[in-house]
Amino acid sequence: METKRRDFIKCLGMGSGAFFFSASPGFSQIQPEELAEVNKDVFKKVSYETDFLIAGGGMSGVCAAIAAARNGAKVILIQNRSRLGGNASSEIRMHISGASALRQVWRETGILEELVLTEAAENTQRSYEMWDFVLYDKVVSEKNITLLLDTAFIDVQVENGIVKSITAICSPTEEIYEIKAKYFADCTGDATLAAKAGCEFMWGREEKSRWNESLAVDVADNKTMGNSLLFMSQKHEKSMPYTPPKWARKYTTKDFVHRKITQWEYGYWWLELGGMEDTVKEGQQNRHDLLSVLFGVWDYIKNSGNHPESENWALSWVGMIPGKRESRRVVGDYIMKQGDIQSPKMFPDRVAYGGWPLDDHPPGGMNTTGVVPYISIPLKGPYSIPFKSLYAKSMDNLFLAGRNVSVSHVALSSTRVMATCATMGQAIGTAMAYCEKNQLSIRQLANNQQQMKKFQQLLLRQDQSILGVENMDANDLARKASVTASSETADGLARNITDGINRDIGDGKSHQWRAEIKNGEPWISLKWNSPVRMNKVQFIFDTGLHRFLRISPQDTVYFGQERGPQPETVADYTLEAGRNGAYYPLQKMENNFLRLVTHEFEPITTDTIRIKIHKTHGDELARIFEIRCYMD
Amino acid sequence: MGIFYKFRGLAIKISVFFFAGIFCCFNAMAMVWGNGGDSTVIESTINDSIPVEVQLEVDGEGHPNQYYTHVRTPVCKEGLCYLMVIDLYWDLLGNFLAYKVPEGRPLTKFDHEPFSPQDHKKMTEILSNKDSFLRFYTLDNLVDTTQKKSSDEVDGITGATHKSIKSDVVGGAVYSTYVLWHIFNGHLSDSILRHTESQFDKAMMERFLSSNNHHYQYYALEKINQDNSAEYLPQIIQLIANGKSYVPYFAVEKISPRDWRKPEIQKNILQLLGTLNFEMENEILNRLQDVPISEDGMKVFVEKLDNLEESQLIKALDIINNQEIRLNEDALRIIASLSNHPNPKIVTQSENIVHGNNRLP
Repeated sequence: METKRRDFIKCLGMGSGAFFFSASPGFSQIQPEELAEVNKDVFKKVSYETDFLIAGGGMSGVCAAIAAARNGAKVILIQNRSRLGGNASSEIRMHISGASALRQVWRETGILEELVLTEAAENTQRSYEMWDFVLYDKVVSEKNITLLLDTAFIDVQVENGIVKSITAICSPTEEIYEIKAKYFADCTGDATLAAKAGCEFMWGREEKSRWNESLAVDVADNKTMGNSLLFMSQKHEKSMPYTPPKWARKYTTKDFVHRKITQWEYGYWWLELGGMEDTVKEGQQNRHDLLSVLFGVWDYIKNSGNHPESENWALSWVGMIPGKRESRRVVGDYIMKQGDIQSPKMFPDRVAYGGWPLDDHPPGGMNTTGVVPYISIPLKGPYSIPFKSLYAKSMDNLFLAGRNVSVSHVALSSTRVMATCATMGQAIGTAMAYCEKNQLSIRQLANNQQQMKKFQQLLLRQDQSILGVENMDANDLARKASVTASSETADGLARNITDGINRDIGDGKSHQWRAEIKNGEPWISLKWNSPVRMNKVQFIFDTGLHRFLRISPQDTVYFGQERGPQPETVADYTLEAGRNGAYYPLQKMENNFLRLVTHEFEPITTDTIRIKIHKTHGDELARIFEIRCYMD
Repeated sequence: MGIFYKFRGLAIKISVFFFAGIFCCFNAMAMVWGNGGDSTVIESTINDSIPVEVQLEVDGEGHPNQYYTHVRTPVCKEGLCYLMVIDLYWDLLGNFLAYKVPEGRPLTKFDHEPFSPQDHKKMTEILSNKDSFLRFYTLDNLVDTTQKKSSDEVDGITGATHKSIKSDVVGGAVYSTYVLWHIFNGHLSDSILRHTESQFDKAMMERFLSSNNHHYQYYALEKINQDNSAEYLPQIIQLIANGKSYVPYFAVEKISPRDWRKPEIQKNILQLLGTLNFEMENEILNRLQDVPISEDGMKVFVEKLDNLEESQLIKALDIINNQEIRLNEDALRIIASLSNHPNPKIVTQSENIVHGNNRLP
């Protein structure tokens, strides 16, 4: 203990004292020879070995890590910030957009849904920092995940097209990590890992003729969408004058012809710059430029006279990390293009989906206020994302998720949003574990139709956002059971719970069992001709996927949202098992708010499973999309 | 029936054939520019081989007025054809002006239903929007071909228009909307703009600045810079007063700091306070903050105080308080009367100005 204490003091003397403690008499007496000795201990090397190294703790990396860990893989997740969530975190505060933009039924499911349902239920105060801790809690609660925060990727070691290890640095702990893994995922957003590994990547805007994209530019260039810096403000009881810094830009009414200021509690995605330069390498200047824009716009709001209602408002939070929309895109075995978004295909290797419009932003941003800040082409419906766009073509073991996947610039204008990125994350996390378990290379999984079908079944079982895949899981005992219920509605027949479709797919059918709850406690049961053995029952409940559900700093984003548990969701119920007509409770649930709920128990042999609904979160109908039973 | 712009001037030559088969691929057009009074100003092709001629119509004084073409084209989709006969009109910058269909050949919707006045109104709005996403769609993207309605008409397929794009097409007439939008806003429009640019001179500049077409107003303002702004000051002030759309906000940017110091300019602009919208008045007040206001200008300014909103009045009184000139008695009386204002800040400002004025030499 004593030795450690002395080492600690020595480290301070060298590592920090040079800057902060040189004036302190206590440390000024450290001898020069001791300093030399101390120097060796700064930035010590720490080695790890794992199944899956994920670089980047944004929504893609978080979902990839949770998915892989839950499927049995050992995961190390490195994140260069102290908080998870990336663009969605409290450090940037962009709300997670996705297929809800279609205004149909397509809110994403799976791990993302679990995260946002948890946030809506447990963070009704809408604290952004608490949203960060929803992510943190979910990640650290997985025993298979080692989370290394404040840890930045700096190097990669590659041998014969195989990523062997990466090097990362944690500045606050003065550690350099050497992390060996079987598989790697680049969820950095900037494709830093893939680029450093030597993977082929794309940058800028491809020309129309390259892939016959009508939305593309006529002549290819290096321009991209810009980065954005956001702010929040609060209303006070008194006038709150504002004086901008001298370096703030000056704006007049003409600058807001295409950029509407209708509220200022949160603003604005169009505080955007950097698309004309390098959104990565020019980042230091870009941040300052964005701050000069942000304070300039706030000056306009406060002092132009055009918004006298802002009199009592003052800035309460200003972002310091520009949120990036675009940088490198790694070339995979398939490059998604405009046509794949606008005229969706059912890729045989589809593993995720998107639904945000083709929403491209001209590169000039706030340097070109005379032109519109975006061109957004609405989509007719969701589109599938192929697995072949989610790994690097030139490496054998490098997955991709997030904005740096294999897409054209035009396709990126849709795939870049975070809900879509999150679904990619779940896809690759699950894929990694599947490949490892079945001893497949990534490309073997991509090209083997039988394996891909089995993999898609696994994704569906785990509630991944995936289109046109129905439950064909041979291990699901529920598919062999007969279904009866205490009651059902005309559009919510009991047999729907095993129809293979676990959500509203916009076909006019409910695909769920519905029963009136006012006349007692409805139940639904699965009965087998002969007793079956099982240790797992899983439910898919209704969480109102037709609505948007996300934390946002902007009040209007909550219009139409249900904060707290979703009213359609079954809250309290009892899961029972039966034998020859006699039932006993297996497990009781209170205050459920999740869509996917799995009950695990010691194996039982039973001929009937029954679920008795005691309460919903407000809906008059008990609703269940799907019940599955397994002996795992 | 669409809007018909009657020919007022000299018809030069009307000989236009616009013939499109599968129109979805509008190829780049070769162009032949007319010289001065040439009849046909744009000759072009569509789909590489189909000739198109557009003529420039001039007014009674020989000034370019609008562009015109006559279209008679079968537009086909999967074997179904619809003969569209229509006259098209653009302004001098290639923006949609109007269309006209002949008697007996109305635009029709699904199952031969003729366009209602509401349909024409919507069509006009859609065609006027150069930024419509129709630019980026192929017809296949616009409709859900898996839900095709059976009909012997092209626009039969419109029954399956997806709801997310319904607001940008005339209901039951996706096909016609799509065809017309691309004719109006495609390469012909670009060619028209280029033609006008090649003819643009000082006379046209002045006509644009004094026109009622906000596209013309924007276009001309863009050509004003620090070197020539003094030359167009009356027109700029006119656009601040009466410019269409957002033009006044762009017009006010064209007055240089040097021009703001001119008494005549100050007077003419301050005269507008009370007649402009709130934001435009703020733009004027913001620009006066560091400018010495002339005696004439101040006289008008004080007289206009009564027309200002409270927040503007506070700003205006700050500007007046910072001036180094002595106010006359009429002005002082007006400002002193503000000492009864319900807003205590304005009362204080008013008192400060009156007392401060007495201290000035």
